[in-house]
Amino acid sequence: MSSFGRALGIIRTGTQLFRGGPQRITTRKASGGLHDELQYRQPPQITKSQKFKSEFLGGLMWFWILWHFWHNPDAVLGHFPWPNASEWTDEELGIPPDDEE
Amino acid sequence: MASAYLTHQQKVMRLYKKSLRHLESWCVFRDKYRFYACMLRARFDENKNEKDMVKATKMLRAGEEEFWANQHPQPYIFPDSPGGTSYERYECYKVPEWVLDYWHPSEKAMYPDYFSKREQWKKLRMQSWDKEVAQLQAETPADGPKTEALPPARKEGDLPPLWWQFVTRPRQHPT
Amino acid sequence: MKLFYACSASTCVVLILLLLLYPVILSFIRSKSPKFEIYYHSVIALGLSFYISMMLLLLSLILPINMTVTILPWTNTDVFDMDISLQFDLYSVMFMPVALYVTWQILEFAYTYMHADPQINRFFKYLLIFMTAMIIFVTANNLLQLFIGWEIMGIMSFLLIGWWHGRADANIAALQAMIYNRVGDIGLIYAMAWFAIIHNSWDIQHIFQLPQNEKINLPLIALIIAATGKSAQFSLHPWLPSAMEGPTPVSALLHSSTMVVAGIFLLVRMNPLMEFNPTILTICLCLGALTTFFSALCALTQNDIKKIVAFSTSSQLGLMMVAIGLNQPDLAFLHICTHAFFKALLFLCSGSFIHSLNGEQDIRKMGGMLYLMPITSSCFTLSILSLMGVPFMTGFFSKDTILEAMSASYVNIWAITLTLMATSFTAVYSLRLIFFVLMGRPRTKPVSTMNEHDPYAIKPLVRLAVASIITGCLLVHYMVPPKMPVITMPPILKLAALIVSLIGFVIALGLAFMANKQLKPKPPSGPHHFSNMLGFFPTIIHRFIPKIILTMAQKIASKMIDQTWLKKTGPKAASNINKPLATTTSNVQRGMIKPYITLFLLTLTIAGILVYFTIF
Repeated sequence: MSSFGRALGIIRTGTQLFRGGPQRITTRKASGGLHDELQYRQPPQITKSQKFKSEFLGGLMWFWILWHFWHNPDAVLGHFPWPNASEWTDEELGIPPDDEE
Repeated sequence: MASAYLTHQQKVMRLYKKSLRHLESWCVFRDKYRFYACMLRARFDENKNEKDMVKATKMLRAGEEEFWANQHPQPYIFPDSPGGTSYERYECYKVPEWVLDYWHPSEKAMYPDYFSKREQWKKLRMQSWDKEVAQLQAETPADGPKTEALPPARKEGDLPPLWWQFVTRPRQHPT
Repeated sequence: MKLFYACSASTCVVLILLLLLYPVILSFIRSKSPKFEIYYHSVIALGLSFYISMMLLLLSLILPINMTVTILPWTNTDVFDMDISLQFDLYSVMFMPVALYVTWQILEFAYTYMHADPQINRFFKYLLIFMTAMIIFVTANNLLQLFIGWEIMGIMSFLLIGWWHGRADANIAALQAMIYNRVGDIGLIYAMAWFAIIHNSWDIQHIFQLPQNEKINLPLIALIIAATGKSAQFSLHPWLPSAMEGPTPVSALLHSSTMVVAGIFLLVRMNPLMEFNPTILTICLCLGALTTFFSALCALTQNDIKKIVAFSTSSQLGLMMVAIGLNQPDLAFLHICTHAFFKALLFLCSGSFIHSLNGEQDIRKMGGMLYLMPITSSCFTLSILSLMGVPFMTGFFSKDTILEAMSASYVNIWAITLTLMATSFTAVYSLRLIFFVLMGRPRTKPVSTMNEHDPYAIKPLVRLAVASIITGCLLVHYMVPPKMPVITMPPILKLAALIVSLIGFVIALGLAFMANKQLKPKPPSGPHHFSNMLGFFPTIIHRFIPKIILTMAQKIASKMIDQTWLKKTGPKAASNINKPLATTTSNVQRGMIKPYITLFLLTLTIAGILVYFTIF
């Protein structure tokens, strides 16, 4: 039982390392409550990395949409043209012209 | 001095506050709200010097009916106010303090300082209880108390009546 | 090969179930130690379960075998047997990784969101038990297992909606959810009973042999009622917006991705029964169209962010029902999978906003989030665009395919109109959300604790955002549709959904500009109040039906029983019968000789005849 717990602990640290990112303290303050410092009438301090990440997500989305639109516009515009009966000529259909017989 | 009946002024003030709040629910942006709030205030102000109570009551009634017709079906209620989204949310965690007496001794042994102090507090409560009751009995008028407010401690070295309920009230927020 | 697949598949599922239950059991064992936090174990358990289910999915893509595996014969009588058996067709194998991935992200997010809660362990336990029930439901091969999963999901929904049980509204909402689900359960139980009596089996593979022989309208209608209850279709829908009383992770998991799709999933599973039954298909279609339109209509004027998203869920569920009604269960299933991602993301982003504003849920008091919480608002915008069906996002592949299938099949024009209008309403309320929450100046309190530094809060959002961009394409490429999708159609029909969404978007933009000017303080009451008060449906039904039942109960309890025993069957009855007889008889004979003698002779003759007949 305890060996399983140890194995689990290893997996836990493994996944933490796998996730990368800042090595945050995984225990939290017992008092909890208000998390960081209060700001009065000021916008929160946005770090450059946060701004970059948000722009990157938006950019990823637009890249995905436009790339797919370039490479298969069929999904949006239609795979096959809808046949228009008035464009079919008499010769194609095998209809003899009026002044025969 | 609050009695069971509202005065005319109180009714008008309540109508004004209600209608401002509902106006705020309708006008989301602050500048537009400020404009319409000023218009509303002007409407209230032009009749504020009315001396004839009959007319004033009729106007109040008309105002209430207009409020009813124009109210917002989902007015903005602050989250912790009655009807709001967080109201009574942590009520389930507000356990009364006498539950602590029912803890198992092994659990109590995990917090020895707290429980020893608690014993002292309980002794203090036992001592001051009779004095509190005596003070309340002396200060309450003959036909029952008029308000829910408790009097402060009058004598030196005395504790205010029913202090235990107040001191051991549960926290607003669980953590 | 088949044996290998069967063994590995059933091992995977059993492993997943055990993994999900392991943190629960662990918490019971370790409940004495106060510092035990179930979080790490549950997240790891879910991560592992997700990878296992992905392995199963990949295996089933390589060896496309539909298989049912009987794990344990449980109760076998001569005529009826109930086993624990699992089914591994496309639906269960594909839905499991989706549901597990979404749950994984939600659990990670729930750690931050519910951090201040003293009973966070219990919360995670409930969520894990719910996930177990979902897996049981999805892999069920017989109706009994399905029912067990269904009911456990209902119970967990009740417990989780009423999580803050000190709050009266939460308890009311939990009861509402329970009661409406119960009404739906009647349908499921009826169907189960019907299958047990008529066909003597609860095994789904046996049931699928039915449609060739008999008329099965009744159990199918019962199944539709079950789906109406669980998936909040029109008449049994009010519980879904009320269910927003629960914490946001609960709304994200139960009431958008997994539990509410259980009804639709049931119909998708039972689709071979409904294939050739036009009545049932039409009922599904009309019900779905009505639901999607009505919910989208109600979502237009709501002010609580969670309620708007709840109505959006309800609307998409109606769309799934429409897909079932078009005899395209695979499109409905695809929409289930894709909808899980962007809806869960939408709820988690809303939860992030709510948490950072200290519990503020009203969009009238939110604004400018784009600059205050950039990552969350990017994810929010992504999920909303996916919901609206922007080309090549996840929602596009399922939503637009359903709309194309609808436009290209010869169904009634009413259903199409409603669905297209609902699509444009989707664009409208989506833009409304973005306008009020993300744009403009902040309307929140001046003191704020907003920050996005917490990686546990951001990582799930980013992962779900990436999923909600990419998975549509992946699912469509790797899932071979059994039914031929409609490919050729006039360009106007192909673009119908996009055009309608664009129209909605443009109208909403126009309305937003007008809102900024606000020429009148309030809009015209009729339509706004209809939409805001949810069509007055809850107002009427929640008062009318209980009132009837209670008045009946009062009359029965207080008046009817006493009245019956005293007046109609007891002493008064005896007197009421005898008195008229006596008075009539005596009045007829009063003081007149001729009738007196006539009656005397009459009775004498009758007595004589009777004597004559008894002797002879």
